[in-house]
Amino acid sequence: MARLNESITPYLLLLPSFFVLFGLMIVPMIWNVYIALHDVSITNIAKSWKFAGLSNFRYLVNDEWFWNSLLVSAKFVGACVAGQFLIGFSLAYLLSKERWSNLFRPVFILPWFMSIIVTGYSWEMLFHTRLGFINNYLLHFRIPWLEDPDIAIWSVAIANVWWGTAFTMLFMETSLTSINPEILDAAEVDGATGLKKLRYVIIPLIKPFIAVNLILITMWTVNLFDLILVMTGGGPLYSTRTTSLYMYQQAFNFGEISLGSAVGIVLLALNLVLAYAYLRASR
Amino acid sequence: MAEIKKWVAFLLLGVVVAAVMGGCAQKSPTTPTPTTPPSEEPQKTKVTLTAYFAAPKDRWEALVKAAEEKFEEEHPNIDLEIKYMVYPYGEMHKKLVTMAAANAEADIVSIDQIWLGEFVEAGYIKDISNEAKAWGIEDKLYAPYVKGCMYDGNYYAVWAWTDARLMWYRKDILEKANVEPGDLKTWEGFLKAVPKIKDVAEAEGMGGVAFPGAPWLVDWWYPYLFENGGKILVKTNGGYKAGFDNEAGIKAANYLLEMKKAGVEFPTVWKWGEEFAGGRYVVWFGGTWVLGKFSEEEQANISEKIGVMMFPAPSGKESRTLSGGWLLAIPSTSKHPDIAWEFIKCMLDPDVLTPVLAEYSYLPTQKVIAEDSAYASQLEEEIPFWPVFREALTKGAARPNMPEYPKVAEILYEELSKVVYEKTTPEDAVHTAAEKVNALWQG
Repeated sequence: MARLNESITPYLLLLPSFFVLFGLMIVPMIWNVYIALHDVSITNIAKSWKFAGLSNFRYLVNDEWFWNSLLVSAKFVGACVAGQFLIGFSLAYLLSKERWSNLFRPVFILPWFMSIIVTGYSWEMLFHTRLGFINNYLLHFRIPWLEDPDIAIWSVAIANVWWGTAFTMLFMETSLTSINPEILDAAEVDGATGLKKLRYVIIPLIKPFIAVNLILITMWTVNLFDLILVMTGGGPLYSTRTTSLYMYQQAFNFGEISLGSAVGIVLLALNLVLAYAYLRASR
Repeated sequence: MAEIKKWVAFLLLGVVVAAVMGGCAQKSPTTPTPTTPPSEEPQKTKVTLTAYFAAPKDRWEALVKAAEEKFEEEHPNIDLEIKYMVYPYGEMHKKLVTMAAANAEADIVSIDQIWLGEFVEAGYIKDISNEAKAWGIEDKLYAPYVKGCMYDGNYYAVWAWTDARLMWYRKDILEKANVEPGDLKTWEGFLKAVPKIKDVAEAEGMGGVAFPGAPWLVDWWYPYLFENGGKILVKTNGGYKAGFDNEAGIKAANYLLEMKKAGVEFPTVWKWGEEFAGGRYVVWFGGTWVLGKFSEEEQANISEKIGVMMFPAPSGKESRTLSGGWLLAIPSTSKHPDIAWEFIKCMLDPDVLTPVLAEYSYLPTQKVIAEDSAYASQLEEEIPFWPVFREALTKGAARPNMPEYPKVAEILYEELSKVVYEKTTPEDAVHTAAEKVNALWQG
């Protein structure tokens, strides 16, 4: 009986967390799928909902702007993840060696303390063609940072990299401290210095950390929409409308709640595929 | 075994406690209900109204405060408290969507005129036909604004104030460019003036002429459509169809292309006129609210430097504009709809509303405020460009307010943006937009 009791107790102790997790994550997810399979819009939300099957997904497949949003997302996520990782990792590597790191670290972390909305408004003003600091005081000529459909997405990506790099920096710095210094000393004795040490010793050792970091920043960037909403609202000519912003606009601008849910499911699937790909690559 | 029993008993007790607490919570009212203070004091019923308004906040502060005083005078037996929250424009729509979805309790909401049908269809807005008619809405408001308060033949809101899209300009730079403000009144004169203005502006480190790009392009395009005789939508037997798929629509779309070719800028980052007030552009297509972007000192002698006029119109045709503004409505979830209506009436009272309109340069929807000298004189005194604003008031048209309208606007934005970026012709843009709009009512 004591053994039975011992085996049940951990599960009983886990029950509250399970209920919280189930209530806050699983139930909304199931509810989202339910809505995506029905015809729910703001105008019929208080009435009975018709079963719509896969028609919301069919709509997405046939909507050129949904495909455009995926392309925009690919550009945005690619630029942001590459930028955040490369800059964040470089800073982490430098800070892990630098004697003055305690002085610089807070400076680099500062952007991450800012709300994403405030970040968006700040960069919107910095990039403003006529009022902005960058054009008026740094460059002295006018680049339409947010007004040219070919440039706008990269401008928004710069703002997001500025905001999000601190996370990668902190995460990777922590991972670097996990390396046993004796291994690094041994590598140096064997003649590995500088880039060789980084490539053949450090990176292989922190590969799992890199994978987790990439998964997290990719997921956050795929789901990010508030920064873009504030800076460009998806324009000009939908050149910055990512899939997450497309989802937001379907649900809240046009009241097409089912379509928004369907896009949410596509985004979830996309995140899972990307996470799986990173984990495979990091093995 | 005893241990397991103890665990099970513990869990059951937890469930019972949770159920009892849940039951109690359901019974307790979510908002304060009228309460009566002790009998020695005069009988006063305490009522709290919850309201949700669209930013900016200061206009509501002024209006609510004045309306509260008015309400107290008229209803001394009610101790009224107004709790309100203010949301930025885009957030306000999102807030209303989530409130409608959750059937959230509220007593008064501000609604953009184009959102009315959407929230009426959602069942979230109360029909106030009887109250509005008893108040005399049809006599009190100008006809286009009466229509804007209706959906499906019933009244659901009252249009509190309006605004209009106009063309603002800097007199000194126009003079340097050798352009008379009168030259800008006709479409032909305007197009000729744009390059001259641009040249002088560039030399002064400014932009020439700016017309809003995304996301407001469509709203600013409508005056051109109206001037040429087009409409946004026309009624059919089964619903609506595009009212711009004609010569008027093509001509209006072509105006965008002509403006672009003449050198007009289409900024997509839009600070509602701060750019113009900050001296970054010479001519700015902005709303009546642009006046509020100037500081009080600048406003004191503003007409010496700044001018405003209606949109340029083709020779022989009348200039038109688009009216915006805010409606006040009562959600169907209101626990105190009668008191909410009484409070809305106080907010709309000319004595209460006129000073707020004058301070924020909004246009009245009520005839008495625009025409009665007691109120109109206040507007004339406070608003330096009142004659132009007054003209805009009579030449404004509203956008449709059915639930499909946001999609109509999005389709037009998509196609008109393509014209601005020279990715399609005005003809193709108009025809494609019309096809997509018509499809909204063809299932």
